[in-house]
Amino acid sequence: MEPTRVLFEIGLLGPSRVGKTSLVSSLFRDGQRLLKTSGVTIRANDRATEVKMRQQARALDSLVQSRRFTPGALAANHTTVSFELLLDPGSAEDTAEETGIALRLLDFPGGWLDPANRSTAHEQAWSEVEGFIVRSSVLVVPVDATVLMEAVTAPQRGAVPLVLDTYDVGQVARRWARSRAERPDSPALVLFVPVKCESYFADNGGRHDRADELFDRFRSVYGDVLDAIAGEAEHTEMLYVPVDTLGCVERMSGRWVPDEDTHLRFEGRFLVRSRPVLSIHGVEDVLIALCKTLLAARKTAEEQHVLATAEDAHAARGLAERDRGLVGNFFRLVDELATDAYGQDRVLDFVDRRTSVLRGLGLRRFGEYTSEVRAADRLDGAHQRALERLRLLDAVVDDFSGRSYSSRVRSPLAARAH
Amino acid sequence: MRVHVMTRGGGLRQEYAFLGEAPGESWWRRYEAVTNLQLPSLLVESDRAGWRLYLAPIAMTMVGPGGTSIGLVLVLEGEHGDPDADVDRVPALVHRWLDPDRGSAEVGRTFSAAFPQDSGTITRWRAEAGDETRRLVARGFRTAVRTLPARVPPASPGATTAERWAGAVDGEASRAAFAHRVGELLRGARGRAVVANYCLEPDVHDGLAGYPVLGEPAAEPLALLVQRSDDSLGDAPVVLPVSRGKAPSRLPEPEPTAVAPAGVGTRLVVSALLVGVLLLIGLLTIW
Repeated sequence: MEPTRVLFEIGLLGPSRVGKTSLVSSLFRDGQRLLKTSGVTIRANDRATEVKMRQQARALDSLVQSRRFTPGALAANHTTVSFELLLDPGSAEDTAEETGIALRLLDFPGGWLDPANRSTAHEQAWSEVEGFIVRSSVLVVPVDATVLMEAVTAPQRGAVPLVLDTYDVGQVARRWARSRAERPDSPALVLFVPVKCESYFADNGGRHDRADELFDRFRSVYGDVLDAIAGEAEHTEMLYVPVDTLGCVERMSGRWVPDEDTHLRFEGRFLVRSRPVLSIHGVEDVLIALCKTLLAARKTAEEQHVLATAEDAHAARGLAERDRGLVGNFFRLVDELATDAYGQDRVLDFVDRRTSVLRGLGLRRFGEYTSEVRAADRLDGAHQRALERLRLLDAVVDDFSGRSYSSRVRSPLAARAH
Repeated sequence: MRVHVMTRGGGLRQEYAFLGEAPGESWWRRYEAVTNLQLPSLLVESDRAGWRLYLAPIAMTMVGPGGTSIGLVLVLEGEHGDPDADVDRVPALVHRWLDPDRGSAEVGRTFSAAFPQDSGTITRWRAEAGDETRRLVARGFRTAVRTLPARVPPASPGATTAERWAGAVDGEASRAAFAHRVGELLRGARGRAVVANYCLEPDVHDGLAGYPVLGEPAAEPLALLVQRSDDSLGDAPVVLPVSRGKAPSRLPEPEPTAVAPAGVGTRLVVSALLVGVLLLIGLLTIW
């Protein structure tokens, strides 16, 4: 059987207003540009994703052009939204169904993480979201860098875990890791993605380099989450991948204001730099990590498929060319003569349309050999196509294996690893 | 008429929830394949059980945590023949809301004024599902719709006589016809009226083939507003085919059929008969 595209589910795990939708939008928006030299393309795989991505891009552009950017100004979700992006390592669009890797992400209102703030009407929806996250191959955990970095006083620092809801994030992450531990042969990747990092890195137009401070604060606040994952599934790869979601903004001001749920919350205001053009940074690292992991997994699946198709094709050829006995071999000879005279298609079409007549005449074995040869040819074709896909994937996987992460990427469990 | 309103609270984690009692069934989720319910969507159903309307979002003037924009989701449900006079104002609300310029902003301002600006009240209403909350929510809705103009511009002649039609959401004539259809549904006509943000103009020409939730049942009256994409629909509604498939404006494409050339079948039958005779001779020889 021909494999269709492979679908990987990617769990997004973050609290309310952290920037889950914006991160997906950045992946989509910058992905095409960043991957253009890799032979891989990324595109929306359904109308729902296309519409949502377009709306998000328009809203973002409008805010950037207004020169003052408030991170939370984009509308919040009130229900779940499924995104499907297609990573296509094939070269032509018409091969996408066979070679593509669909990435499905499920966005949800982050407040649902906290059971105390989940209405009974949303319990069923949350149950579906949690199920999706737990069975995902990859877990993406967006982290609001401004909340980590702008907490100065003791009450502010005390509010940080509440604002980022690290307890509930940790609970779900632990369940995800347990699920991964039960599938040691499947991919297991966690990407911690600090977002809104523009003011803390000096490599994308920023004035200050506070990268080490951001990393230290992340490890301090997310320590329990890291331990939970590492404790449940040792084989999980974890990466810290900071992203400038916009790239063209600078934090102008910010204040901690009272909040009913978290005591305090941070409200930052950003000024758009002189050139109001998006300069997303760090997304390439996210894409490299995703491609490395998922393409390798796809390659493993494809190798298994190549073996299976080879066995099927060999068995079908053996069946077609077997010794059929005197009568069977006589019919085979007639089949070959008829196929030479009229072609395989016409003979099989005739047999299909005249089955009952042939049976009535005692000629039911007429066409048997041709039909079996056709089946063997098809399986041979499937095997050849599987080999071709594997060859394509080999090239792309090799390409990504050779790509290195930017200096921003670190292993959260160790010192700088990449 | 039962009024349900969903919005978010002032706290960081207070996601969207109904103020007071939620509708018994989230029937609007059946349309998730045709519209993103968080982007402008309007769904009206009318059947023997009554009518239901989902309208979202109404953009409020207040902002939430971190400056997030706040929308309001409106769900109305009722029985046909309900003497509630405010039911007759719903088509005008729909018509104003469909206007992307001044109309929708006016609806937003009106509902922002009718519903409390302070997050404390919203927090309380979210938590209390009693009669008092239901009464206050209904009062807020009635205040808002009574503030808005009650009149819908007349539909262009013939626009609403077809049972199934579609138009572009930015076409004024289509919007007016749509609002009138909503009024008919609320007054007892059977069918549906849908603003679907995933559907584009070519989908209408293709008979909504990719959207079974809109295409079935094929004979059910449907008024549909879709996103403008190639200007092929113009300003006024166009008739949708009653049966599924290609729109009548396009000739059906003939199905490709594999037909064996004349004579091939006959020759094969003769060959088969000869084979039969030869086989018979062969078998007799063996015996």
